[in-house]
Amino acid sequence: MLFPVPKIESSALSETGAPFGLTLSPAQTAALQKTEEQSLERTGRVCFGASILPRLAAAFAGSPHIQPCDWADTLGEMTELFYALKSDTEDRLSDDELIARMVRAFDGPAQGALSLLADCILDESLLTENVQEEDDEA
Amino acid sequence: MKPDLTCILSEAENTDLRAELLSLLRMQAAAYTQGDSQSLPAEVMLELLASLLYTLGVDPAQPLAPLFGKDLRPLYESGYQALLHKTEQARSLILALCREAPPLGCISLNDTVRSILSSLERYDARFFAHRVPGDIDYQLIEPVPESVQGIDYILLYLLRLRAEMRFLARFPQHRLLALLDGASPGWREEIVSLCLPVGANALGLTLLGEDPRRLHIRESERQALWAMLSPLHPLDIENRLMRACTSLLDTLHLREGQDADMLNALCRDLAPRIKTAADAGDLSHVFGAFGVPATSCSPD
Repeated sequence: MLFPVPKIESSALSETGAPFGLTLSPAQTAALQKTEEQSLERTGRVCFGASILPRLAAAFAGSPHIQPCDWADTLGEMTELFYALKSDTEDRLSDDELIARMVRAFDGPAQGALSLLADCILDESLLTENVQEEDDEA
Repeated sequence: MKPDLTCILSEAENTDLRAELLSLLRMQAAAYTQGDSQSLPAEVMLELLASLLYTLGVDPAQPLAPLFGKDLRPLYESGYQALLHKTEQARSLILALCREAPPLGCISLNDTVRSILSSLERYDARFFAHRVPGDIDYQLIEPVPESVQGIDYILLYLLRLRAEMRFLARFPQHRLLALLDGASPGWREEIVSLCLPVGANALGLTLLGEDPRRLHIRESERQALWAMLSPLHPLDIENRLMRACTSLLDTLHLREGQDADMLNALCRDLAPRIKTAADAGDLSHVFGAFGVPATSCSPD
C-alpha cells in the first residue's frame, strides 16, 4: 500500500456523534479503520489524504434514520458505499458532493435503507450527467 | 515490461527519501484533485508517481541513488521548468522541420507531425509528464527507444526526423518522387520509411563512385554492386557501407552528429538485407529502380 490510511482518534469520532447520543468504542473505531482500508483495497483506490470516516460521521450523525445501537455498523457500511460510489461515478463527484448526495438520498427517497442508497445516488448522478450532456449539446 | 514503481519506493524504505517522495506524491495528488478528493484510483496514483519520478530525472530502471541527500521540492520544480522549456524546443523543432522538409505528401509523416504539434498544446507536464504527447505513425530509420519517456521521446524523435528530412532535402525532388514511386506505388498512404530506399540507392551509387544525388541505379550498376558485395560477410558489407557513409555525408554537406547517426543506423539495417538479397541473386529490392510516372528528366 502506497499510503496507509491515517489513524483517527476514537475520541474524535465519538465527539462528533455525542450530541446525538452516538458513541464508538476504541475497538469499534479500530474496526471501522480496518473497514476503510479494505474498502479502498476492494475498489482499487489509494487514500493519500485524510480518512473519510470523520466526515461521514459528521454528515450522518444528525440523520433521523440513525439508530445509536447501529451507529458503528452503519458508519462501516457508509464507508464501503462511499468508496464504491467514488469508483462507480468515476471520480466525477467530489468527496463533499458525494457525501451530500448520500445524506440527501438516505434521508429522502431511501428513507434510511442502506440497500436503496446506492441506486438512489447513481440515478441522481446519471440524471445530472444526462442534463450536463444535453446542456453541452445545446 | 513496465517497472514496478512501488518497488522503486520500497527501495528507498527506511530513509528520508521515501518519506519525501511520498510527501511530494501526496502534494501532486492533492493538486490533481484540486482538493476535491482524498483518494484516487490506484492506477491514477501510479501515473502520478511515474510522472513525478520522470520529472525528477529518475530512470525507473535505475536506482534512486542520484536523489539521496537532495531537497526534492526544488528539484521537482526545476525539473518541471525544464520540461516546459523542452516543450518549447519541440515546437521550434517542428517549425524548423516544416521549413526544411521536402514537400513529398507522405500521409503518415504529415499526420505524425500534426499530431505531435496539437498534442504539445495538451501536454500535461504537471501531472502526466511521462506520457508521450502525440501519435507516432511515421517510422524512423533509428527508432527512439521505448524506455525514453514524455517530452524527451518527442524531442529525440523530432531531432532524428529532422536529420532524415535534412538528408532527403539534399536530393532533387523529382528524383526522390520517382524513386519512392518505384519502391511502392502507394508509398504516400503507407507507413514506410522514406529514407530507406533513398539512403540505399545513395549509398549504392557512392560505393560505385557515382554521384549519389542521381539516385537512379541502372541494371548494370546493380550487377556491379552484386559482384562487389555478394562475396562479403554481412559485417564486411556493413563496414563497406559505413566507409561509404563518410563520403556520402561529405558529398551532401551533412555535418551534424544526427546525420551520421542516422546513416550509420541505415547501414546496420541495410547490411543483412543486402546479404540476403545478394545470396538470392537479386538486389532490386534493396537498390530500387525509378517508378512511373517519371518526370520529364531522363533517369541519368
